[in-house]
Amino acid sequence: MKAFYRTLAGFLILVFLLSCPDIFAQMVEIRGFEHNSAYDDFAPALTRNGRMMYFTSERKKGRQKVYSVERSSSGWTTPDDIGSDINNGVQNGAVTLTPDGNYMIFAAYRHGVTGEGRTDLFSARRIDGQWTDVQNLGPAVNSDAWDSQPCISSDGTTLYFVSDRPGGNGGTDIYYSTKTREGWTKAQNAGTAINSSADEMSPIIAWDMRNFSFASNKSGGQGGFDIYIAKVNNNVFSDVKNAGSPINSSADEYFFVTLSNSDVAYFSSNRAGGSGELDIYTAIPNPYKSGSVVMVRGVVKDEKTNKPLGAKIIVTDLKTGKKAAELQSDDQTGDYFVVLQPGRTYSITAESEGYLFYSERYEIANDDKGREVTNDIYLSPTNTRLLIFFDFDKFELKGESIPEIERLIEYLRDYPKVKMLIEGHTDDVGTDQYNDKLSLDRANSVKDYLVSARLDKNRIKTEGIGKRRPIVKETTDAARAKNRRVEVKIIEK
Amino acid sequence: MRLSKWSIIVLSIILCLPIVMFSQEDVLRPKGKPGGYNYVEQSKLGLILGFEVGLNYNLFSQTNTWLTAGVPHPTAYDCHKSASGASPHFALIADLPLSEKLFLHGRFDVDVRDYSNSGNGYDFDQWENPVILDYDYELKSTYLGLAFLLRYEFTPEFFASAGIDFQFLSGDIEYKQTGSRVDGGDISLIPYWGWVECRGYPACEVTTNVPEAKSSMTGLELGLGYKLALSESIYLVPQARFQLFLTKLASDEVSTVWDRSATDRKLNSVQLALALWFGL
Repeated sequence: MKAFYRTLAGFLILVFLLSCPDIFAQMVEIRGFEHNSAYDDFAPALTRNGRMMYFTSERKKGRQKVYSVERSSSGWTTPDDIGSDINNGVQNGAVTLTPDGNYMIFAAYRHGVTGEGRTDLFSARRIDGQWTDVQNLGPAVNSDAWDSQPCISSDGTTLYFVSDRPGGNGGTDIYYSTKTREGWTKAQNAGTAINSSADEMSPIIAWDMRNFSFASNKSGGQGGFDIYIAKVNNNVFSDVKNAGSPINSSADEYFFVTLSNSDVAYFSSNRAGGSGELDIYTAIPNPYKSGSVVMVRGVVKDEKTNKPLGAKIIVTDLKTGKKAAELQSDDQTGDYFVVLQPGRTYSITAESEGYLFYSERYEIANDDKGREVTNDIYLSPTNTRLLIFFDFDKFELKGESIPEIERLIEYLRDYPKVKMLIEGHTDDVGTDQYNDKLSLDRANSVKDYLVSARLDKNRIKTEGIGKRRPIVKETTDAARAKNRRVEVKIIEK
Repeated sequence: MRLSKWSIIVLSIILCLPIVMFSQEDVLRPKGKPGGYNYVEQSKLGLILGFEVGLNYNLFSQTNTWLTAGVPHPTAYDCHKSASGASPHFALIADLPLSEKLFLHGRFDVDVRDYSNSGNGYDFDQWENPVILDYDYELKSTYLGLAFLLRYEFTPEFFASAGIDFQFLSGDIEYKQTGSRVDGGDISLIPYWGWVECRGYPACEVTTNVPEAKSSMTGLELGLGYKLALSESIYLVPQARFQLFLTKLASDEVSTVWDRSATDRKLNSVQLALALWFGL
């Protein structure tokens, strides 16, 4: 009988705890951002693993403008107006950035750059430390209605935003568009899983590209706009739920941003006790953490001078051969920052005018717990190591090699006077004679592919170096892997 | 400066215009912040029509030269060299976009241009004794104006305009003079006032027309303005302009009666206006 009572008591305690989520909510600390003003401060957007934050504020003259702050040892630096190229409309803000902080999409009402109607979405690039090259995203994304609150996925290929254009589910709805070689595709309504007859706002997709949040004032919430959490897979939304207390309150909440691989979330609210109107808050620990990601950062440099280079950073999914993201390293510092997802194999390639490209391979395990990898990339104008893969003792190209060889084909087409030498290298296993032949066969495999793409065979020479020029003079598996390679050298420009 | 009845009416209209702001979209709210202060969106056609009322602050100047040298001349009329005054201004406007920030702006004006000055000095009676005289004069005129301007928006609200302004005189320029002897004596004993039949009175008022008044004037205009919103398609636009007229107000005049020439008679104007613009 005692056991029965114990079980019953345990069950009742469990039911009580589950029915009182506020008990757990008390464990989440909500803290105001140190630079909140007496006016609206909202839409925090974090770059470079949370080292930099952009946000929108009305702190000056009642106008919404974009400000940036940088993390320092003593907290966040003083908010800095990011400049007139962005902030020259009547209202500007709700920015979203690629994780490297070099590409931005923002909303503006009556911006100096011609728009499609009312509030529109614009892109901008950070060049030489300044935000510039502002362009309207065009009619595929923008309408003559109100289009605002963009959020770009960490790979830069999917854009979510809010619009009150006709044809939605009522009020404002969330829409998405994907980036193709031709530009942004025609915006699609994100569907009834997240859009209701009420107003949906502030879509945010986490860097893991699986966790999604938005705000809505639909019935059933805690009052005003509430944060809702959802899952997303190929723009199909599921598992939508109210974020509950203490994220939501009887006031309005918007822009719930999860910082990857951390316990921190940011959001905006006009709840009582703030600095005035909408304020930015942190929630620690984040009750809705996103999945882990691997962040690769480094500097693109000139191989000889060590001078930082602005370079195009191309992330390729080596299993599908498709470009996963295209970013840009900082023109001044050469810094690049890429987010990679678990369970995939990528190459990261740096391309810069006047240099041969260089690629690195990253295989991210399914159970990777998230980390930050630092890897500088060195570019040379005359030679590079190709990211080409062969099975052991074989010279047939593996499928993962194709994106790299396609890049080489594009390079040779772009520079039709260039002649190059393709060198095959092996590790130290086997005889010289065997490795010489194997390395030459591998170099010829690359040449054959190039010639099959109608490139002049006289522009390409091959050589089998065998094991005579190792990069690393060690006999470990890692050293051997580095030594097995195909290099390209320009012999005539 | 004297304010005419019209000027007082116009000023009252400006001061009494209710400035009712409305909420308008921003990047967070498609309908704007409740009770917020916002700005009107550009109309789809880009064409704006409107009307305005305002004040002209007229600045008149001329050069007076006595014809006979070496003899004493009266000083009571030295105030002729300049005059100023405020008078109302009404206009209809049309505004067409040439580009995102540049607009062609046309204005049809009715400009009341009144200005005056007063002085105190001496004149000489028929026995050539000096007599202290209070003297004032006022010129009244109405012009119909056409202005063709380019308007450039530095921001969606703040703009500058510049262009050419044509003014066409409607009727005559009325010229009213009032003289008053301080010693209470008969003003008609002063030759000029005697000629104009003011016998027996210490004060006299004479109204004539300015002879040789030009029928039109051409000028340059430079202005600044600020657009505020009253509703979804109405702008309230306070403006300030300077009108520099290159054409003389009237031809040079040589008066043997006054023994004086009047040359370089020019009128410039500072114009303060409050407009309502309607976006179409």
